Amino acid sequence: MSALVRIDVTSATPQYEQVRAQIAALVTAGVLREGDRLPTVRVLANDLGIAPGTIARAYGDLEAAGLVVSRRRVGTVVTAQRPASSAPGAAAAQLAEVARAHGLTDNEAHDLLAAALILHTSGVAPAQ
Amino acid sequence: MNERDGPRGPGVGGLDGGRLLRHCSECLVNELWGHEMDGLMQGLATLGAIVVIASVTSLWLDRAHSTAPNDDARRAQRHAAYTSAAAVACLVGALLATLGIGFAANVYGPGQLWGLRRILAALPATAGLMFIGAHAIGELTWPCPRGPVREAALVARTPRDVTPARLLRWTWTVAALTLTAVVAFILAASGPRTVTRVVGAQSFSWQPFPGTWFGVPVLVASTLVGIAAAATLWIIASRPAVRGASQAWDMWLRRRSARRVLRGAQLVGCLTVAAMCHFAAGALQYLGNIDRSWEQVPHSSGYVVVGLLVRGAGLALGLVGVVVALVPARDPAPEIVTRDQTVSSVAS
Repeated sequence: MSALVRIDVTSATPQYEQVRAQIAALVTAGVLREGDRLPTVRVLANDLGIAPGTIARAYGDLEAAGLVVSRRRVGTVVTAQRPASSAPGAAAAQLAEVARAHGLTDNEAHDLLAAALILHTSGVAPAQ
Repeated sequence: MNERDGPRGPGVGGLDGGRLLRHCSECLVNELWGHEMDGLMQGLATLGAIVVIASVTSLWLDRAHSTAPNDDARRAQRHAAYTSAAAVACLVGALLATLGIGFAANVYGPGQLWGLRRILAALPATAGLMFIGAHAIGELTWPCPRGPVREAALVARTPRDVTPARLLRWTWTVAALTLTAVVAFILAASGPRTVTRVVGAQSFSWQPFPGTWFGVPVLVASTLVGIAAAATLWIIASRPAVRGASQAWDMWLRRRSARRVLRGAQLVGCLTVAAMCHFAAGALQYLGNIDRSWEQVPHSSGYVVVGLLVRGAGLALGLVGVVVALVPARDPAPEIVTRDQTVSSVAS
């Protein structure tokens, strides 16, 4: 069993960001584990039919975030471990479950979480 | 030093004398040229027919083993089949052209076509380059993913993953044998294309022998074949995955392409060594005076036996190369399942 990356070339979200976000989510979810090798930039670019530079930028961002490391001859390898089970993780899982139950799309769920974070940062109570 | 050339043609180089003799020589050349043109046209027609038959057979064999889970996979498989047919046409055409040039070189004699013979030694490898080049073009023009939503498995693929291990080992063995044969013949040669036998105070030479004159072009062309094969395997590993097909099926199709490339590479390697062994064995056996037609050279069983062994080894290697190239692989297509049944996705 292996993980998939899916991109929508018509989406407003840049393609490198779509790739980066999905790989980061796979690492966080534990589907990709420490030591797992990712496909080379060219292989993934060919499979998705996009420019190699797009994948290189996504890998670069992941490396900057400490999730993967790229080495010559070895390729790009996952370095981050799955975070231990925690309250935020459980709450996120619960949010995903509730969002699915209410028929929200991924973007709507993301917006909901982003809005909650903004409101929390600014100290404003969410409207009921 | 006595030196004998290889077999000469029907009198083109030997008629050198008075005007009458020169006139007859020109008439003979004109007549030969007319016959050669007819023969050339017939040869080209036969060559074309054989190339077409080989290509159609390749396509038919491919269709006989065809199993594809969806339209995209069928399109990919068709692309692979056409690529293979074009590559087979290149290989068969070039190898047959090599044989034709070889016969022409014998007809016209070594004095006329020495340069051509030198190129001839590298022609099997050149045929291999054309074969691998056709495969490389087919892989570079592989159907690209289309549509607004595209997906890819996060699986690392390298040329090693798509290459059949046993066939790869055998191809390396053939490469080593080619290098060994070239070096051995160069060391055994007494000149760029001559081998010499010393009997007492006299020495007797025979050509052609695969010394540096033939060995260097063979080595260069074989190295290029190796580099081209490695590059094509890399392209096969990194070509776009077939949409909607399982990873197992996609890898099976990649292994199939890689197998074809390696089979062609090992075939031209084996044929090159076989041809070199053939010429070397002929030279050694003539120096051993195998038919006792050379009055001043004593018969030598050692030369004859070594020539026989070299000829046998070359023939055996050539046959093994043909068998490896033609025997079907035991790598059936995996059961047809769609990718959705085998992988998970975090994307909705």
